[in-house]
Amino acid sequence: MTAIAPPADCHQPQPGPAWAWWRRLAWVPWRQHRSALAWVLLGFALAAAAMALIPVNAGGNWFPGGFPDQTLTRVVLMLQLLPVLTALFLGVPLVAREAESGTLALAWTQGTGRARWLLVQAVPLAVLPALAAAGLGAELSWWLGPAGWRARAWDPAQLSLNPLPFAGWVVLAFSIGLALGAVIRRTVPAIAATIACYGVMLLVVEGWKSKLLVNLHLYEVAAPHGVTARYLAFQSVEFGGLIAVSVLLTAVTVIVIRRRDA
Amino acid sequence: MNVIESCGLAKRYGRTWALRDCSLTIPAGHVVALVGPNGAGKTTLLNMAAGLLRPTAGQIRVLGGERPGSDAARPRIGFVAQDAPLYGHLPARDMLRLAATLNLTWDNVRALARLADLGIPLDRKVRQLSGGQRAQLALTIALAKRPEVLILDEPLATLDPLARHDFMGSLMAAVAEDGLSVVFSSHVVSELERIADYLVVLNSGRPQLVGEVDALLAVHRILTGPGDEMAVDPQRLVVVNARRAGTQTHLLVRTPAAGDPDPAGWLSARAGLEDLVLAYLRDPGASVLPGPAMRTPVVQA
Repeated sequence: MTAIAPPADCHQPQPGPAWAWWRRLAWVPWRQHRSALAWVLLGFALAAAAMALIPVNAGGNWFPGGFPDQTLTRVVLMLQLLPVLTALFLGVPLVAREAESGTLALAWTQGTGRARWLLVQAVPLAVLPALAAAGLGAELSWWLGPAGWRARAWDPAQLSLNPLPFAGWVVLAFSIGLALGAVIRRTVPAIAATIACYGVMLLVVEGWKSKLLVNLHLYEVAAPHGVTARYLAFQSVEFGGLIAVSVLLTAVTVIVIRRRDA
Repeated sequence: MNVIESCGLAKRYGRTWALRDCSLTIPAGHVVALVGPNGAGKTTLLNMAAGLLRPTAGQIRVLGGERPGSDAARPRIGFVAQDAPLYGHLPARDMLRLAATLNLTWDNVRALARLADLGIPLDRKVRQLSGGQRAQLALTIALAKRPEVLILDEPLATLDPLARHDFMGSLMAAVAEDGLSVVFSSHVVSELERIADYLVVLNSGRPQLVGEVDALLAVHRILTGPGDEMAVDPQRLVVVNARRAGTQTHLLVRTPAAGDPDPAGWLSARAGLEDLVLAYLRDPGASVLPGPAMRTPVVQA
């Protein structure tokens, strides 16, 4: 019998404190989803490049109740599709693809429980695109310029594209995809359901916001001052709401996968 | 300690019962063969023991009372599901590291030594490995967590004879080394005798024959003679299965105890495990279960 030393790059886990195990587990989503993550981040990068390269004359062309600039409309649409991209590439497949390939029987019989297995993957895969989204939100305000940005500051769609709420929408879309992938267990139907759910959520929340903005007469007070405490509070409430719904949805997903048959 | 014990266990998929009223005790320290025809409920039972499925009714406990799939049970059970699912897109090395990461106890040195002995290239993607290599990789992963019990669902089904032989060889080596208990299902009934020392025959979702192989073989016999099964004293021998070939009748009978004298006029031969399993599977009404059921034939006139 020859003695075989383990290659240096091979990993020998050591028992340690709980946090060390969590840190070690972070390798799992990276190895399993790094190419999907790369595609999603490429989507964000293309959006960033598009904004950097295409000029916009938002300040001149837009006024309340008037025609929005076409370029701006397209960019807003493009940005609103990025959360969907995140959901479809990262959220939906996390459970659904493993259910389809039969590897849940492998993943769920290891020492790590189902809840930990899910969360250790879901959290980084939601947070990284959310950070990218926050960056894009900041780029959007730069792209619009001070005047253009102020002119549309209280527009419901643009309000959602500020760094905080935009990150919140990415997290929400991811959670919707994760939940539907875990419940439906098949990638393609879960993708369709996720697009539908995200669309409905977007419409509902935008509707609420428009009503709220009119009721609070925020359109009028907004423009001249730019970022105000009130503006930030409004964004924070949107962000907080989206994150709360996401956390709730993910908690339900954990309960579902713990209870259901593999 | 009992590796698996179930009581009134049942599992229904839609309108079909995969498992029904399954009460079973499998003690530790054995290599247990779980045999039965396709659809007998073998996979359902093993998946429940691994904590992947929940019972529709009844109860199942593993490792002497733990709930399957619980934090106490999972690290102590090595499980390889049917067709040995692995992440095909990962190189073997990363597949191993992934499994290592998902477990707290992990014997990496031994896992690597096993793969080196088997000549499985670590750089090759799992989906590019042969079926035998994939099965061995799955077994290596299940063994590397140093389980007390190894549960394998149809580990031999997809392997060619050579790979099958090698797989059983390395399984037996691991059993000898660690003294772990093994429960494996198979619909292949030949070759079982060399491997298993405990037998569970599952038929139509119910256990039909449960016991140590030696004990079961000791109380079964094949009788060959010119008469028919009516000629055998039913008080003393239970005819499990009767087969006519020309003028001869072959009976597989169960005797009240090992070493019981053979009935006059019949040629008696030792029953092999395969004969035994086939006879019981042909007659779903016959059953031998531990406990009272074992003693029912012992009614002397």
